[in-house]
Amino acid sequence: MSAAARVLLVDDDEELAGTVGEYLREEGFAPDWARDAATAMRMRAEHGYDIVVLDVMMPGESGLELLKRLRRETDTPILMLTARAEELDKVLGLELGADDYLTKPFHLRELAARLRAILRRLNARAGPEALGVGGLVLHRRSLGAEIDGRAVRLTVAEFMVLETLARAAGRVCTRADLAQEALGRPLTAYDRSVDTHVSNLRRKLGLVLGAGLQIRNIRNQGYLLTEEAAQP
Amino acid sequence: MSPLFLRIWLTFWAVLALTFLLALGVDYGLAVRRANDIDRLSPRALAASGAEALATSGETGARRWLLMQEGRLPELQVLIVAPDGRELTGRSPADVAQALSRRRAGAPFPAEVDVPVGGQPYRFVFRRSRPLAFDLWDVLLQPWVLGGLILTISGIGSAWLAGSMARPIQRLQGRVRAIADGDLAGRADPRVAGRRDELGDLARDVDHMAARLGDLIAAREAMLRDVSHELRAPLARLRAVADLARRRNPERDATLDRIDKEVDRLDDMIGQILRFSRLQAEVGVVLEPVDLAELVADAVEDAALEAAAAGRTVAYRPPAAAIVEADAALVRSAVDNVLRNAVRFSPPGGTVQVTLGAGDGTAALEVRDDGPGVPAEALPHIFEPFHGEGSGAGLGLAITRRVAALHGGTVSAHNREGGGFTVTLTLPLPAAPRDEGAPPRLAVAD
Repeated sequence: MSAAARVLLVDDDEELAGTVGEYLREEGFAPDWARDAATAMRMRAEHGYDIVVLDVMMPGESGLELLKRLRRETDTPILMLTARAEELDKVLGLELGADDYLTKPFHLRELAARLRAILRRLNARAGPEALGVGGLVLHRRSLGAEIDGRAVRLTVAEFMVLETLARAAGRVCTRADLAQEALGRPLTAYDRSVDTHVSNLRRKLGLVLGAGLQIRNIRNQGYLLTEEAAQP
Repeated sequence: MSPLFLRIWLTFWAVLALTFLLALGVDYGLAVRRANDIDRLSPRALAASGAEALATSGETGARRWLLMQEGRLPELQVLIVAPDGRELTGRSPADVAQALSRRRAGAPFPAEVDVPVGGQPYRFVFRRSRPLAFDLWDVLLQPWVLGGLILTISGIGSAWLAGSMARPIQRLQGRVRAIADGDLAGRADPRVAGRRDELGDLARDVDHMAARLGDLIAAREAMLRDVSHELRAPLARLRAVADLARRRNPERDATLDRIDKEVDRLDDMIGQILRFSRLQAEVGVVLEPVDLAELVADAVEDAALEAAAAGRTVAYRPPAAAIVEADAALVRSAVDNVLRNAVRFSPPGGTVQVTLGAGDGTAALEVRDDGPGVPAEALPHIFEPFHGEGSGAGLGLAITRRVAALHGGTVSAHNREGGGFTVTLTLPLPAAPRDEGAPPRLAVAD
């Protein structure tokens, strides 16, 4: 990494944030810490960050609420921290635009790896700048997507999933492929991230879709971006 | 008709009808006695007394005597026929003749007595008197008419009374059942809650109780969430510190791994305790049509990933479809727990066999592993919380059993002869809406 990536850690647990901050600093990141939603909003507005790590289980204004507010203002990647039993939080968080999640208690090396994966996807991308399938155009440097000339707002994770599907257009991408390629990590058990991102994509693209594109779910195999007309 | 309604209705009806009939009987008895009293009177003596009045004060005196007589003995009517055939009070001769026509042998009345007054032959006619509306009463007083009337009126009256008591109770019962089904936010029927009597009080108390219950459950949920958060925070710190230590002292890896393992266990336990206590509360179970075949396929896919990491495999051949009425998230966690258990106790390189079948109105999921099984004496207890199976919180199978019970299903386990362990989870299939010759809902795909 050229300059240290700036990470905003939003968590009400000061001790944990301290340890995480120490670890990330030793790993070459530049972490900042915000105790609550208000501080987080202010710090983000003042400094801007490359990535936000957000505990969605904070008391007070719920983390999910903050996630929603952040998403309204910025496309900065967001990695959320959640509890294992709170299945709903995960799905809701991803639907609200989080790029990835980790369940507490998480491993710091896993956190660092996820952060790097997301940032790598942001920064370095080989191949042509624009990628087109049907009426869909993906701008790989700006992470912008257009359908028939109309811009669609996607999170980094959604963009990466769509890009992976687009590069393989017409071929089935397994959920494991998508996790590895788009999210930068192997598929693990009980992980619905890929499926949630795909369903977000369907929803967002469905609003402006007219290009005869669709993302099909091939049972027990994976997902497929096709140009076929929508099935009856 | 509700049993309560019938009970109140029949009781009141019987009491009312019996009371009326008894009163009628007493009245009838009194009337009979009075009639008998009249029977003891002597027509001749009465006529003599009348003749005396006639003799001393003429026909005017006789009429006064008649009035007196009527006041004293209203049951007896007296007619006096003058020698010229006139009746003194102006009744027609036909009336007089009719009065006498009903004479019966042995009975003293009606009777006629001829008394000469001042040499003139006067005739005294005595008969039982009848009220003015004689004919209507005659009909009404027939025993079956009167009995029928009493039964009808008291029947309708007591039915109304019984209904007014049973109906609000039934309405309140509907509300209580809704509470039992988890609807704590609703209110009792205003037709009951608005009453200003004990039933209205009861309805308002029920509403109050439901509100209290709702508060308690919400507080409990909030507390569980807080506890989970509070317990997980130190766990997350512990793990973070261990990771930091590992980064700085890579040679201490093995020791730190043990810390990691314990953190995992604690985290798992907290999660299971939370899930289990939520299941006990039985709140928020949402039944909807779920394809069990697909649900199991998803669960197997995840379990296979986990198994592959541990060098085991999971085999499943999904049937076409098996639709059950279920809460998908709960059933999924029940299936997950059984699969995880099977994977965990499989020998390295072993395969967990998963089959889903249907028959007798139930869908049955069978999970077979080649593990050592469970000692016979421990077998009856493996679905109990914390049965001491060693690793893990031991709540997984308890959760499975609870979920099965919530859906009207069962879970059972047995050691197979020749080694291996089988857990069977059954869920009821909804009754087929088609005729009896309907094809089975479950067909094995090729």
